[in-house]
Amino acid sequence: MAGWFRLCRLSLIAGILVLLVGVAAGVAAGATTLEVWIMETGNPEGAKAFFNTVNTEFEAAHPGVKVNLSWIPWLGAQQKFLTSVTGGIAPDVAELGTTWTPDYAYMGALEDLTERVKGLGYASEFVPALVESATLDSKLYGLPWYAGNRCMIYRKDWFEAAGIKEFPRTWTEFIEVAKKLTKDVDGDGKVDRFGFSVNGGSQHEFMPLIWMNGGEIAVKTDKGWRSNVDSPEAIEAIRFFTDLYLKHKVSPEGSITWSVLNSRKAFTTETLAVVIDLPLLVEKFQKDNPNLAGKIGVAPIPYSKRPASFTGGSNLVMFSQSKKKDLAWDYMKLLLEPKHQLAWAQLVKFFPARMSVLKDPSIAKDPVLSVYADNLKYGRTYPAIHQWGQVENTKILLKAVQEIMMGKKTVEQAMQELANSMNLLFGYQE
Amino acid sequence: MRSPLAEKADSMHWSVGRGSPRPTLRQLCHDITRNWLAYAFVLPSMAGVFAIILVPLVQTVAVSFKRYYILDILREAPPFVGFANYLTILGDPQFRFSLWLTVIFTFACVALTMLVGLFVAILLDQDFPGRGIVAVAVLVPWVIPRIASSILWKWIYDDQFGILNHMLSSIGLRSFASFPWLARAGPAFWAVVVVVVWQSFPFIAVTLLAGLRTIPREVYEAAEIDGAGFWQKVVLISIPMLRNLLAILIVISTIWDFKVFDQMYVLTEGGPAGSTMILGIYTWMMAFGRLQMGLASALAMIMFVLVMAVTVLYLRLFMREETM
Amino acid sequence: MRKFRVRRAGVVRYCTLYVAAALVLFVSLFPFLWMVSTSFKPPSETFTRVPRLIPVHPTLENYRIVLGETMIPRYFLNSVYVALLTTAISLVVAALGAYGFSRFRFPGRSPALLMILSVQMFPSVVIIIPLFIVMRNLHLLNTHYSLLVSYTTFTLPLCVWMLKGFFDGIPRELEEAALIDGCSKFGAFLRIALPLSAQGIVASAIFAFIGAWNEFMFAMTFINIEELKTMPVGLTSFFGRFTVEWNPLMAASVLFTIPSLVFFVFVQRNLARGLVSGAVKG
Repeated sequence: MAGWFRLCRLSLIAGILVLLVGVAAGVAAGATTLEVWIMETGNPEGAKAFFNTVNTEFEAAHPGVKVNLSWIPWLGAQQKFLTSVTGGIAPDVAELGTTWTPDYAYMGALEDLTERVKGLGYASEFVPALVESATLDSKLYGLPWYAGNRCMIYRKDWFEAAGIKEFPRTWTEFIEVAKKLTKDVDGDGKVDRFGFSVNGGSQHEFMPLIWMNGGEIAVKTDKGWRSNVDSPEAIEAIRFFTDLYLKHKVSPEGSITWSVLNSRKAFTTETLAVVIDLPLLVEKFQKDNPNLAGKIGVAPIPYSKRPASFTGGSNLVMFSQSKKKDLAWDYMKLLLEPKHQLAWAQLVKFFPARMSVLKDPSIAKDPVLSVYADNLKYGRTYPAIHQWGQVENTKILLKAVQEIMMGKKTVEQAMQELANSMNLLFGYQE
Repeated sequence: MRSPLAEKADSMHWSVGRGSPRPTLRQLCHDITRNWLAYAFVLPSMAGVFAIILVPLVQTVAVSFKRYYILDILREAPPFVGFANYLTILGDPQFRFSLWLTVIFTFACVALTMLVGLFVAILLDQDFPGRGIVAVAVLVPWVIPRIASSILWKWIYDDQFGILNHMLSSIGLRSFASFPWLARAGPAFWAVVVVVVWQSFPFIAVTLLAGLRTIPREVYEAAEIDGAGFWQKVVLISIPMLRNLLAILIVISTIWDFKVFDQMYVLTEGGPAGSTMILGIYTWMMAFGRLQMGLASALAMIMFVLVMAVTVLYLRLFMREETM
Repeated sequence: MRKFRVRRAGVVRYCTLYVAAALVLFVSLFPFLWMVSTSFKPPSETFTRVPRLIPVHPTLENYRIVLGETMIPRYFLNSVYVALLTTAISLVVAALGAYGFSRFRFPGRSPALLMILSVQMFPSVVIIIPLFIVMRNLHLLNTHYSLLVSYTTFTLPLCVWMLKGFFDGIPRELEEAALIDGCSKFGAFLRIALPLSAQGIVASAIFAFIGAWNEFMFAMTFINIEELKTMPVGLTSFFGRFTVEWNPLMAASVLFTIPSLVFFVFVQRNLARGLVSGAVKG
């Protein structure tokens, strides 16, 4: 009995103490702090150096202000953001992946930046896919920061050896080329070099095929968003992709569950001729296998009806819980300045969100980067709706393709079921 | 099977009989004052556990009766929906599939972990030069950072360059040259079972070893005089004497393995095509995939009731009466 | 300790033992060796067509990066601090609780035991948001207290149950005797029960330490400040958005693994002996 009372009293005293300390700390700090959350880059030292420069510059221009920067790991980041916003402790400024922006915009957690962005003077310069990703009900909730898209990275030397002069431009050509490159090099009766890897675990590689075939992933109707993956264009696109595995057998058997991490390994170890990947991999492949130096080419992904590629990246957002919105906006603007755009893009090896900065010779004259940069104008993004996160996270896209690759379902069946599941998440009813 | 002495001790010093079947408040106060020492011992752990966790647990129960879509909660208070979430979960074919899969998964993991753990504990209880090295090495799977070890296992299972396929094919099993372990439903499932067992057997082994060490040596010596062999001693002496400990370990392993998430997520993400979507993954998908905390909480409650039922049943069956 | 003593110098017996030991060693260590090997490799040797355990050109570069260019040393110290304190608090609280549950019969005992266990039955993804709000309300976010409190909470159930199992195994007659000799009940706990379950306390200590040492989700959710982050969260700084820096990651992982092994050896050697000798002296 006494124990309970003592405990209660103790915890009360402890609580008051903690509170006092908290208040004291707040008073003592005095200075205004701007909370900024940036995602980890895999290059902790370089990223820290970049932000030291930026923060010093910002603090010099805003006396009495201190920038408090937190590095957020990609692993479990969604959880962290949601927990913090729900708990009422969101940062002032944060980097958000493009496909996450609609979630928080819908949630009401983000500040509407439409007017502020209009006042920038260079609003028309942004990579269109990034703007699309941050727009909800024609309001802009994110400031485009950096963009990334995918092209095909291939073995020039193997192409030459196989007598292929030009990189294929159409799907039919690509099938032929992939077949030619798939072979048994050491002659033990097993294929040990593959033309392509049909990654059943990477949606960014197969979903854009639907756009390339003239289809749409989802369309907006007067009854809300409706999945369009059961359209003939979409079915044909996914059939092209899975047939590379099932019919043409140009891909390793295990690629049903492969993600880019696997296909990268295969490319590094010289068992794969073509991968779909980001520009930063071109350099990384050569670092991881010096033997590849000078043997790597880059080309846009072949298409059937129109060029398209998935363009992702990150937006800078301001949380509506922020009490220092003008300060936050100043900080965001600073990060968008060409010199910082360029420096950050080079560090994370993505592209600046401002198209004018893309004209910098370091990008426009680079044989690899220029191919990617040229393709940014065909960039598309997934429907900017809050349910899209659920579509990705529940892995129904992967499930559909994997079921086809496992031979459990036909393309029509799988895509019909996928359309139903997507409509369920969209809340769409006929 | 209580010794008469223990029974006597119980009645004399250690315990207070329960009062009337329906305790009044006065009776309760009386009980508390008479048992103050017992409560003093137990209070810190009860307080420690519940000061922090009670509110979240009660909230989980509350949320399970609401339509709680995380992206909606800043705008409106989540509406009360009664048992709708429970009905949705129970009616979801995916839930039923995941439940059976999880039952098999848990059973396989617990059984294998206990077997391997017991085997290693018995091995480490022997006296042989180099025993110390093995005792430390056994801990490695447990202490390796989990993020790193799951990735390492993914490398090992890799169909093209995995060391597993490399070893299998170099001992003549050519058909394993590029066997896709994680791209087929059955092998992927068992591949994860192996990883879970690998990560959890050290804990079981260390604990059982500690238990083995508390068995008085005289007991074994007596058995040896009666001519008992090595395995007879294990089966007839060690295991019965470790019965309580084994029961606790099985219960706790069951609780853990029933909600495995990390390893399955890193290795298969529930794939291929959802064929390894155990309840841990399913819960995560409800909570942070679909952001439907109401459904996730209802699911957690259902899992809680199931695990609790199994636990109580198990403790009733296997623990000696007086300990529970 | 030497229960299954080998009477006849049975060669067969030793062979079996060593075959079993070799098997256990191999299974336990293999992935770790792979980790160590990768940590000494340059990037160009990370992925090769034929897996190679011994690096062709071993390098210390990865360790230099981890120790010299990152916050890993700081994360490391934070982890040591949090894990040691969690272990100490858990052990004291759990030992008391376990003894109470083992030795006393009081109203509410069985439900309390089950309730303690039930803490483990909820998937953490479900309670992370309410737990975060509790931490916020207690002003514990961005402090190590948030980790100490939550780790202790999640370590206690097992420690209590496990230690209770060990206490149950000690014959009560021993404590009865001490009581008759004029020892208090608390004294009987300290001088008789605790030393006799030294092995169980060691096992609990290792469990608590490794639990706190390896925890990722709470640490990531409750702490933003670089200077306060712990090792498992620190490891993720080698994960980019679409890439992983394998070699430094593995070097950091090796640095992460070794101390727990040292801790184990230390605890095994000293804690157990200390407890037992304390009993003799006391």
